Amino acid sequence: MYKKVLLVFLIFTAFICFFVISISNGFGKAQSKRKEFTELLNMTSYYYVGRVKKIQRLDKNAGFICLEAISFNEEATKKLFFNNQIVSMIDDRGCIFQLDVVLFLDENSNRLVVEPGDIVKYNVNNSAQYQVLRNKKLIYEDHAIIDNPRLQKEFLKFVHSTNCN
Amino acid sequence: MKFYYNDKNHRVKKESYGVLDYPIESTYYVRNVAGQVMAIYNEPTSGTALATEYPVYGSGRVGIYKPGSRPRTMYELTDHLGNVRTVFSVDDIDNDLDNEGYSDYYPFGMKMPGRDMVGNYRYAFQGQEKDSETGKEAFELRLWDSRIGRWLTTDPAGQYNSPYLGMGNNPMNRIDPDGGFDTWLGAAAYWLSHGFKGEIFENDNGDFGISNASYDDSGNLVGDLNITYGWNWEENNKNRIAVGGELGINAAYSAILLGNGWEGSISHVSFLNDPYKTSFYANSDITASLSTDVSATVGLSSYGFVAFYTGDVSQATPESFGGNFQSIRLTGEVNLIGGSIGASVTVSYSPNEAEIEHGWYVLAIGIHGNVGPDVSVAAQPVFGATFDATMPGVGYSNYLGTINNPINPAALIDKILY
Repeated sequence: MYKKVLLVFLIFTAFICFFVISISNGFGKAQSKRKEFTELLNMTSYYYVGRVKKIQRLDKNAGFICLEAISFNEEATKKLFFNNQIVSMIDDRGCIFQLDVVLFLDENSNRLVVEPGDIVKYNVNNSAQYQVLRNKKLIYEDHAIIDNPRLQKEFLKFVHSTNCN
Repeated sequence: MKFYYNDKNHRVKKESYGVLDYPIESTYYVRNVAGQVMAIYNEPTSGTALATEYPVYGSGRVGIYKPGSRPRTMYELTDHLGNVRTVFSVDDIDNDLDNEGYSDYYPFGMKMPGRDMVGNYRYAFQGQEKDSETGKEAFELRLWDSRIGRWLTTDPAGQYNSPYLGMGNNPMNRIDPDGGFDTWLGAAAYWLSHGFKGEIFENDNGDFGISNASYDDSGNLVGDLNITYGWNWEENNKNRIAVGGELGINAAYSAILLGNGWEGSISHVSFLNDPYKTSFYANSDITASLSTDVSATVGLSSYGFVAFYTGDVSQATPESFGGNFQSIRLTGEVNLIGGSIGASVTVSYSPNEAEIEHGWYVLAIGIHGNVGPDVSVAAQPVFGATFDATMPGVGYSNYLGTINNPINPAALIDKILY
């Protein structure tokens, strides 16, 4: 009996190791993906500064954001592609569409949601950072999110149905 | 005597006083960025500062170079605890090899009378510097009295019930690198709770720390020079933790070896970053299972769990706890007539899509009771075991909302820990 219980626990431990290792491998892949993405941002010098107009919340902390363009790199492409997916785009009306973090905790652990009127800076000075400013004060800063292929259809739907003007 | 320390708790200066508080001399410790002593200078009150020691390092300190009228390099031979047992020197002038001293120690560090030869090598018990003025071993954070085997001041790490107890009263096997936390566990826990950032390293004292610094191709130092010794539980770590409970209904079948199951549950979660609120989730998952039973059952289950977020604290929101998850579960049960009762251990992972390298790890322990035909086909017919796996995309946790709740487990943990 004792040996059988031990065997079951050993098998379970092996499965836990497999579980954790496979997730850790996923981290490794994600990190190399992020590096590639940072290189892409560097290469294209794709950047923008925009004022938040509309938001569509998604799962967890992410959401689609529609911004009114304040400034952007006119020489660069107006669509940022990564892995054949549109990550970010600026249309002819001067509207910017982006998937990124719209919910986060501030330093006092208060929940903050990105709101219309907030200013978003994306890859300014090739920083590869996504920054949110409210009343000229930086309230959130993190690396620019990588688009999720699962959300591509929804993203394009958001682009076609939303106007920043 | 007066001691002066820098922000890393490293001693940088020592002042000695004689009768009537008359200052005799000052000793200065010059350190590199990792805190290693590179040189020691002595400055008499009426004189100029002179270098008296230059420690020599291999993988740790192997000795010192002593300049002066008889310049020589002194090498130490240590035992498994780092106690300096023998010191010999190589003279700079004639390359003579001299014995500079030797010593045996009682377990708590006092030198054995008659079994030592005292030289002027200042490092002794556990390789720590011995202040000649006090006769005490000067660990980084505290002075040690080897005669009574106790610290002279209380423990800043609060490791043991008695703040004066050292090395866990087990000086034959354990060392205390700095007078704080005496194992590598603190550094490992710090690394784990900081999202696996930085590298664990060991300094020349056998102390463990975390460094985020590295050198780029041009040899320039980049990254944070975040060197933290031992246990350092910051608010940030606390903000990554959540505790909760879950109540569910389940339905499952298992033929010999293979089976499937479904479980729906409601869970409540308290986050230590805001312990007076409780968030609720509705969960559903389908599992594939390996089982020792032949069964078709429905039942109730209950779990308690603790969760940890590996990424940036700003992302540890109640919403990020919901969404897709994957899990594995081991269940052990006793099969009764018409059903079974059992217990389980579950590990699950819920990735945060906004921060793709990170997510919530959850460890849950639960009990359940099922009704329906359930027979074990293992050699022990009464006891059964089932291994369940929920793959990505199958398990989903729907965030329902958050309410104020002045009494909850996270608030209690918060009160106990902080």
